[in-house]
Amino acid sequence: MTPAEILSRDLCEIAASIRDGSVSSRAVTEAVLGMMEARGRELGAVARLWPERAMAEAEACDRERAAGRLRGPLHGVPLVHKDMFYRAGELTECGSRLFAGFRPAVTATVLERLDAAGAIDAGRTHMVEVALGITGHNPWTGTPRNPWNRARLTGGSTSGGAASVAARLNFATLGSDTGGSIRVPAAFCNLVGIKPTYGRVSRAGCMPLSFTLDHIGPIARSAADCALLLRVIAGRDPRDPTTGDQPVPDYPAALGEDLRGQRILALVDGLGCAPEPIVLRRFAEARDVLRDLGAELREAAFPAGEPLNVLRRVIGMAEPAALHREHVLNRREAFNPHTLARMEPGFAIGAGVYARALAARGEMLARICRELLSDADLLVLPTAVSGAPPIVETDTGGDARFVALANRLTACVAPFNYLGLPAASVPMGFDEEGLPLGLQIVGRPFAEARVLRACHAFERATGHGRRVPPFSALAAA
Amino acid sequence: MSEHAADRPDAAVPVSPEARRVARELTRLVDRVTRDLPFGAEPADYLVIRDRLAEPAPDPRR
Repeated sequence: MTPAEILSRDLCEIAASIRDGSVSSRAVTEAVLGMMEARGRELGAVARLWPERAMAEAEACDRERAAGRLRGPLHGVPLVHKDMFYRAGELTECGSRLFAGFRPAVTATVLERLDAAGAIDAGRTHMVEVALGITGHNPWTGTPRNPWNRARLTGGSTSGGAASVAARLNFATLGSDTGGSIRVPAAFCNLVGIKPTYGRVSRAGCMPLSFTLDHIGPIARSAADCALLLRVIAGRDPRDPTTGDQPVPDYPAALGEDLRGQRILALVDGLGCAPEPIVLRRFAEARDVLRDLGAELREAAFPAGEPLNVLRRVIGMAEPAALHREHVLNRREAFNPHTLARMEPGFAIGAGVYARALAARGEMLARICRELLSDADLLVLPTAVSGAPPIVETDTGGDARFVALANRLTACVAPFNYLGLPAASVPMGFDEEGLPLGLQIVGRPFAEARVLRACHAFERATGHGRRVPPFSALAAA
Repeated sequence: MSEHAADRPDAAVPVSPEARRVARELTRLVDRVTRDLPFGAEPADYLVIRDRLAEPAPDPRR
């Protein structure tokens, strides 16, 4: 197989090919490292690669396979992750000058689980500074470019990760999502990304931003790929006491081709934002597809979209402010203005207000489940109000316009961080300029299997996710 | 809500007038949306409610 042929395969396919010996881990790892070095750097997606480490692991995987031993379902598959997942002793800079030279002493639980499943950790991708930002802008590292249109943003904060997966340079990536940082880049780059239930995936050893709102999950080219990764990384972790004891389902086995019997509620109003007309048109088409797949579809307004965004913003400002207080006091100049603009109000929010926003979380979860999910299995709504905005015109340096853009881009996704409900974005088609749009699918707590099943059925019916962007490993250089 | 309640809780950190305005506005909105919060509600309730509402795993035999 040529490097382009290798990289055209999705994660499940390449993992199966390595397992059955039709391609070596060495060849796959060389293809990923080579294309990430060349095209990934051109996109501004690559923070650093670990060729020596990755190739040594690949050769070890090939030797083990020849001896009849497989480490797990990801045996020999190289992956490059967002630059915020700690590996003991390895550089982890979190998109920030503040973390320059940082080498953690611990390894993230999610990486330990990927290691045990046989994955090869091949490097890190660029991200928004300390993961606080939805657009993808990062003046310090450079802003990654969207492979669908390199003048456009990727979305953030998993910016370089989404760009690398969309451009077929990387099979999948781990991301974090505090207010949409998995789902919005997935939508802007025509990928599938799932933010699991709060507590489904351990956050131990991941750079914290907001202990109440942070979620870890995969971004990949298909729901099946996300299912495979989630199966590996999910589950109780004594190092993260918020993780639940619920058993981890066999997500790949739960995927299906139709949605017969699924009760889906489409949130067509009350989002607290106005999606662009093309987004509403694609959303209407998506509802038709869901009906054709056999779902019982009803439409309703989102009863608490705006209040949920308010409550999330309070926590999403106060907790990063608490985490970074000493950084802001002593090294303020080291922050991008975009980051400070989103964090600074957190220093002026009173303790009582923060405590009320936290205390209301359980009550709001119970209310939304009672009002929306008692006679529906899933909710659907657009992931974002538009396709990816332009990089240059929207870089207004963290002023009020920038904050307003960020609030607009998080409006449809952030409520589910506050509620902690599982929410995925799946490709929903394209706007008039050929930019991808995303459909968001939300379930009850720990309903990731159902959410992924709906994503899988939708992507199989539409084929949107099979389209390859103009800039990719598959296109002539 | 008193204006100065949200003015400078962390006085050591310099905060721009715009950030103070945002904080005041969010304070006003939180006051409104949590007006009916039951007495005694606390953050730890969230995990209990999450687990109570958890969807059972799909039956692998089906």
